[in-house]
Amino acid sequence: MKCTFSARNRGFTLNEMMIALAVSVVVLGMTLTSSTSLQKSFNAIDSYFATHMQQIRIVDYLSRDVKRGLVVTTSLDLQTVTIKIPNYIIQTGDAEAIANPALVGTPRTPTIVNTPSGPQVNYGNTTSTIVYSINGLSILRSENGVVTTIASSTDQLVPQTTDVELANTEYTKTSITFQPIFTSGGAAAQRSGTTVYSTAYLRNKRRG
Amino acid sequence: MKIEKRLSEKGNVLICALCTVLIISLIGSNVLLNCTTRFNVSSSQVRSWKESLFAAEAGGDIAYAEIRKTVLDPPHAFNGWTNSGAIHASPITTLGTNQLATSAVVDVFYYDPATGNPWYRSRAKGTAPVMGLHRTGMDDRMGVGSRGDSLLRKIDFNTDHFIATYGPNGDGVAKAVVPVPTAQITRRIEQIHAPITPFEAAIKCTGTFYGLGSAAMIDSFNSKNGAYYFAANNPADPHFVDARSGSVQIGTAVMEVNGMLYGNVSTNGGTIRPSQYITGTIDNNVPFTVPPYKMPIDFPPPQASPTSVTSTVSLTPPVAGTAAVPNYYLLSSLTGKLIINPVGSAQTYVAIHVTNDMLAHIDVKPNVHVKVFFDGNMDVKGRDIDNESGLAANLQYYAISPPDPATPQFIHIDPPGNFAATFYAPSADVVLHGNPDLTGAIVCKTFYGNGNTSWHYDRALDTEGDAVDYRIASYVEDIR
Repeated sequence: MKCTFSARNRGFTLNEMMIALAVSVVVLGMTLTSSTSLQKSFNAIDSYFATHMQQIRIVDYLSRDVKRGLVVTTSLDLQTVTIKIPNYIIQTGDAEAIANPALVGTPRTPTIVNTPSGPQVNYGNTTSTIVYSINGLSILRSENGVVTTIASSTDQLVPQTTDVELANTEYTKTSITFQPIFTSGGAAAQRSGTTVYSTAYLRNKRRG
Repeated sequence: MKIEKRLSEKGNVLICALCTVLIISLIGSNVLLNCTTRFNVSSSQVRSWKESLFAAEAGGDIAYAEIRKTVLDPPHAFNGWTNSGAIHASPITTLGTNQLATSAVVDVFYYDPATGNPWYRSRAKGTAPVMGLHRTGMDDRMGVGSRGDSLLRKIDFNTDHFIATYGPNGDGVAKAVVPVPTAQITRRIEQIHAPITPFEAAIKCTGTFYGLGSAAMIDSFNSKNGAYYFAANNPADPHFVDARSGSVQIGTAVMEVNGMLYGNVSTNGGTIRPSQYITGTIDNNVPFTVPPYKMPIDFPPPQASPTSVTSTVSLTPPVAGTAAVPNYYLLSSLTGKLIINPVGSAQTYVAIHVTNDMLAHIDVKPNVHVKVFFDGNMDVKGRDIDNESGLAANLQYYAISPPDPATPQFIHIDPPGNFAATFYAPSADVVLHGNPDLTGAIVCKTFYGNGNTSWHYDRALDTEGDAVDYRIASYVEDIR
């Protein structure tokens, strides 16, 4: 009996193995490098958009409060914004609430007061004060002293607001930038490409 | 015997391929999860947040349009709404390609005690659906490393949180769990609509203007600060600040302005130049229109008598009334002499609707506030306008515009006699003869006056008179 071996079943030579191993190392290296780069890129983009969402949230918060505001004041460094808004909801301790506790949490009926500049609509005798400020990496919104963190990012969010007074109204211009935490080509990431702009007008006649 | 191995039966390649597909799928799903979250927040939710405010403001505008109709087109105000007394609820209006929805509720929350004009409050809500997958990866927390996705934008995924927590009107009444058909964002705004009164200038005419005489004078004072005396030439006088508001507003370029004007003048394309005869500002580029005036429909039922006055009638109303609910008389003719007395010493309010020409002598005693509405023309002498208090606001004439705009309407006031009154007649041609000393204001279509009149505009009239339009005086958002 003659035993025959198929050429297809023969093993690899040392040279073949070495070459295959080298090719495998190169391919694996490329794969790892690509994966790492992709992961870094994904993280950077993820962080970028997460910070971008916070930009939009700051803009929307400011826009909502400015629209219902009575007067807006911006600090000299443009980073603290103070807004007076009507006291629309009756709160515990208000005169109406003391007279009738069931009114707490309900909308207030306004009163009309005649002033030298014409009739004025007042929700209660006082107004609420909202302050937007920066504290470290966080953007804070304070309403009558109650502080809420509305944005927080390691990407250094910087909102800047200016208020422009007109005859009876006022508008605010806000720009918000951040510095992305990734670098490109070894250079520091730029703020200029991350700016979001917003303009909001008072809906009420400006007071003060 | 020959043994052959079939390479096609080797399974490791298939397993490797499946593992590769699995790993890639896991990576892909992770990326998709993050992308969907970002897309939902930065696109769908932000868009719905803004669109819901647009919808709410559209509802506010719809309400505003109906409120304006209460003076511009009273019979058609709030048609198609659900009306219950002074509360009006709109049907739901859908708009836009994303099926935005808006509705509004309007009520009268205040009546001006001096004029009786109602102030309206409108509460509008706008709803926008939120597209995309529900709640994918949303993060309620706020801080470094967390995102605070729901801090600002309250999204109703399954039920309307506002109705469940605060009730449909936000007052804690009728709270209920109401399912929503799709995820949605709802925003609510409240606006206050204030009446606009007509007498903001001494003379306001939409058409041609001629007057007054070369030796005439228009100045002003404020009856709330004391009786009239001439102070327009004395800056040291404490009433000087009230003395130079005798303004004239002309809606065309066809005019001839004579006499001394202690106030501002505006025209629509005119050629008035600064001179020593006009102390205020001159603006030749101020177009404006005044809509026709229609009879208000919010008066109480008329008194049983009188129904016409053809001789001398002394009228004492049964009650003092208020500016919002005056004693109302409906007269088919007013050609005699009508004396209107107060109820005791009370401030007494009277409204008279004459469905014919206004030809009578009216004597208004002190403490009486009279509004005369007439459908036809007015032809009287100055002495027939007998307002004993001297306060122009106490005798107000309103000329109802003819249904056909082509129908002419006129007001003729001839000598002799001085008077104090106001006239709101946007469709009438006014002719004023003689040299009367008059206190008041007039709004008309055309004006002609050739006498050397001394005309004193009372700055207190700025807030007097029936509402002729409405403006939005306050805006607040219910952010709950």
